[in-house]
Amino acid sequence: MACGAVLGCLGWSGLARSAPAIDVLVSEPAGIYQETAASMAQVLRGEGWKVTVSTPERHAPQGPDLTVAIGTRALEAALARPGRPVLSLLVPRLTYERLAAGQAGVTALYLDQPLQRQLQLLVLALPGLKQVGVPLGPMSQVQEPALRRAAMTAGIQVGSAQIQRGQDLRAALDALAEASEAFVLLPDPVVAQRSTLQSLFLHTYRLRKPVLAYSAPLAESGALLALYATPAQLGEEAAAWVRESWGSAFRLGAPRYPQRFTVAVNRTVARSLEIDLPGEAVLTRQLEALQ
Amino acid sequence: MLKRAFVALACAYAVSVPAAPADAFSEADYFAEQPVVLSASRLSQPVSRAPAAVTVITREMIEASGFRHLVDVLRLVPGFVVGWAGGNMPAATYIGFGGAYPHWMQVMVDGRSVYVPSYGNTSWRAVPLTLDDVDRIEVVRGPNAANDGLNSMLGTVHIFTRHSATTLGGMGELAAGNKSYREANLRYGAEAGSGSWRLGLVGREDERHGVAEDHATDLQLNFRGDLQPTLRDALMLQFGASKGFWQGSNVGQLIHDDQDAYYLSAYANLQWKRALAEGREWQLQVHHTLNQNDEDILGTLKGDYRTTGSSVQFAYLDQSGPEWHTSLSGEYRLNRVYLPALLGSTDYFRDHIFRVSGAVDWNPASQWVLHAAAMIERHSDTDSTYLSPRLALNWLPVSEHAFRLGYSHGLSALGLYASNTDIKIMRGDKLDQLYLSVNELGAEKIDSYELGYLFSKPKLGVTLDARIFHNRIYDIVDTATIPVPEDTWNQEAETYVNQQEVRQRGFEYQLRWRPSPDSWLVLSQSWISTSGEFWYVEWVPRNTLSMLAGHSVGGIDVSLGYYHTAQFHWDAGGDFPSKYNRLDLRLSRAWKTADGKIQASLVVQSLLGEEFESFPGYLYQQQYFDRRGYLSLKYEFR
Repeated sequence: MACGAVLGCLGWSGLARSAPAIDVLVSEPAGIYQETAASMAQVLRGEGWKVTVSTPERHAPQGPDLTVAIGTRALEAALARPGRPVLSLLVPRLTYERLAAGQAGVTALYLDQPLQRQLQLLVLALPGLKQVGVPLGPMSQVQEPALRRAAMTAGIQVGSAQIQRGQDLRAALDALAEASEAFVLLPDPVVAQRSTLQSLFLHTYRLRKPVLAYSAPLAESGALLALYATPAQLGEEAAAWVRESWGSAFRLGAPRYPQRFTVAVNRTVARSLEIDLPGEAVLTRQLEALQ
Repeated sequence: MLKRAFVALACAYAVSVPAAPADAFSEADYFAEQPVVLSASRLSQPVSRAPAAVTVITREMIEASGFRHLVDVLRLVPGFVVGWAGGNMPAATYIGFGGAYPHWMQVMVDGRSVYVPSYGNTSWRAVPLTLDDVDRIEVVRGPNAANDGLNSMLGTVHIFTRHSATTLGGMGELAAGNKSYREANLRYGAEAGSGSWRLGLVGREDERHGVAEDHATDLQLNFRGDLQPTLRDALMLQFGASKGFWQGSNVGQLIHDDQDAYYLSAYANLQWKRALAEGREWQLQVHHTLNQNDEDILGTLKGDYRTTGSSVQFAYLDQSGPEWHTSLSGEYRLNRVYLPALLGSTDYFRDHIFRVSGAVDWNPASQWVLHAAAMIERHSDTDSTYLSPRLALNWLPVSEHAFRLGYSHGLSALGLYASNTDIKIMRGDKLDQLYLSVNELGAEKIDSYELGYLFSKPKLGVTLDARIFHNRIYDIVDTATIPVPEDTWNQEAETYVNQQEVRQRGFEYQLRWRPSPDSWLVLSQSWISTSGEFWYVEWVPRNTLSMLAGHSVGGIDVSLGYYHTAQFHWDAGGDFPSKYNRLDLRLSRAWKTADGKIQASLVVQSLLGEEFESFPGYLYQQQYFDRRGYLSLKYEFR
């Protein structure tokens, strides 16, 4: 016991002596960026780490052992000044790969949830589900092979339709609806256009097909379910990752999807589609058990 | 002056055209709040970024309330009071100043203004719309004239009906209770190609107070059709009519106990929305509304009137850029009024209205929004041009908190009758000129300043919407006595003049709490201090409270509504105060069937006993809303 306490003190003092300096670079000093940075800094500062927060306009990367770039703009600024390891936060996988794929010393905790987890949630929410339909746009079509693998693991079929223009979306949904019991909406500027989202959800409602989406606002707009990580969850998970990977230098490894997630259910849509859904807490517990 | 203002507005719009949108997805697309409210500026925006306080009444709240009349639902908004002068003249007003014809508030159904042009009020009972049609109601608390024009002075009520695609299949409902309440509600909706439609039919009779024989019967028909030829185009056609047979008066002239009013309201509304490239949209809307009242008051004195309002409007919205969001709209409206008893002529009076409005939201950073908007409108009736500007600054320092600082200027007119009144009667062989308009009547005006605060903690299921405000309402129209030599009775008459001023300070809030999916609470309160002539002070309730709570237990939905106002007077003359302290209970249960569901509901209103709903004029002096209940059985199928 005493030995443990002594070791603990040594560990603490040793850590304090060699505590790394981290520069958290935020796209903007507000909103989701600030929230992510705050939850991360709270964990790390609590353990004596030196955390500074800056913006691309006031970025002085001398000294820090790691730059944590929160947001796309911050990532672009961090990549423009190579030399320090970079951890990207709050950036979708496809955007990250477009900006930083293959660059040494750069890794990411993606904003997206893994496809397999998304499909697992649908299976939990809609027992007996056999096939889902996924409209893919120019940006998201590269995910088709991964989508098929994830579907196989989840024990369901996936039907996909590729579109190049927004005006083809409706026909794609109609075609997919013939064999699919639900839709999965993936981030893509052609598929999920803000100006046509309402029409999109209205059309899926007409087709009597529930939609799984990737953000809380989409669940509020008309999707039945959404699976996502909040800024606070991402900040805390990133802090844990950073802490675990610190030795004499950072060894963060390959980019990864977040382990943490939040489930949102639109009860109004569930009622309208006459779907009996478990509560968000129940779905979250069931999904956690599958991870 | 008008030309200069148009040029200024056009320039403001030109410099605000945003940059092209980004071509890839970023984190903003995951967290961008989707449209929440539309009413404050036409631009779709979350409540925390809107330039005014907006209360949203949801379908869940409407159903849980157990109310059967549209107007009663407004009791759920902070600062609102609702009163019934007899069974057929409901009136609603925000922060006081309510009479039988409140004209300081604009009411719109799917973008169609439903006020009656003669008096400027809303004939709530005659609006061809049932609560079953309503999707949500957005209430802008405070002047919204920069967006909605004249009469949007204290607030605006925007009612949005349900898309016809969400009401496919059939519905039949029978409801009955004491106080002669009976209602039959039928609806059927179907799809056709890329469109859908809904037809509703309602028959209803009730008796509000039992004073002065206020039995009322309504028959309503409503159609809504939606066509979505592409995901970018949405066309909507609505038409409907409401016919009412109401005991009592519909013009506030209840002289004898067996007076009747026959009312007809009909409308058509066509709307086309087209989404352009990301974030850009235009809307075209054409509508026409008819209101007609037939009523014998005494001898040859009649309360007959006919009014029409026809409008064509176009709006262009641009929310494509991250920094600049803009809207620009124009409208031509023609109001026609036939009101021989008050206007002294059997001709139609016309008011040609031209409106141009613009709004700009500047988002220099995600935590700041600067909003500027203005409406310029020209009215031929008064040969006047009015300007209604608004400025607001929203600050969202962290995701849970938002602050708003705003200034808004609003205007109102009493309707066509005030500037054209000519009321005279014969007393034996003598002519008595009662009212005569002789002045160039100006608009009534309000300058309103507010500080708003919004708190939202989704994890706890809590949202709070609070504001403090200061209003200066001036040039209020009042009556004055003028000499009239032609008057052989007393050589004088009353006329309308702009002369009064009132100041108000107030605080109000709405708290929403949903601790679990099956339990929720909406609590609203307001406190208002008013200074000015004593009668204006009496027309404002010093405080109001409403609370609606719902809980599901064992498959039964239980909801309780409590509504309270401090004592105040409706603006109708006399000394009888009004106040209510009302508790309503609703129990509802639904059973699934093979093709739909059956729902049974029991509602008991005014559980605490009788409430005083007095309009202190004529025979409406001592009206009580006493305990009553009804049972409803509803069957919905696809």
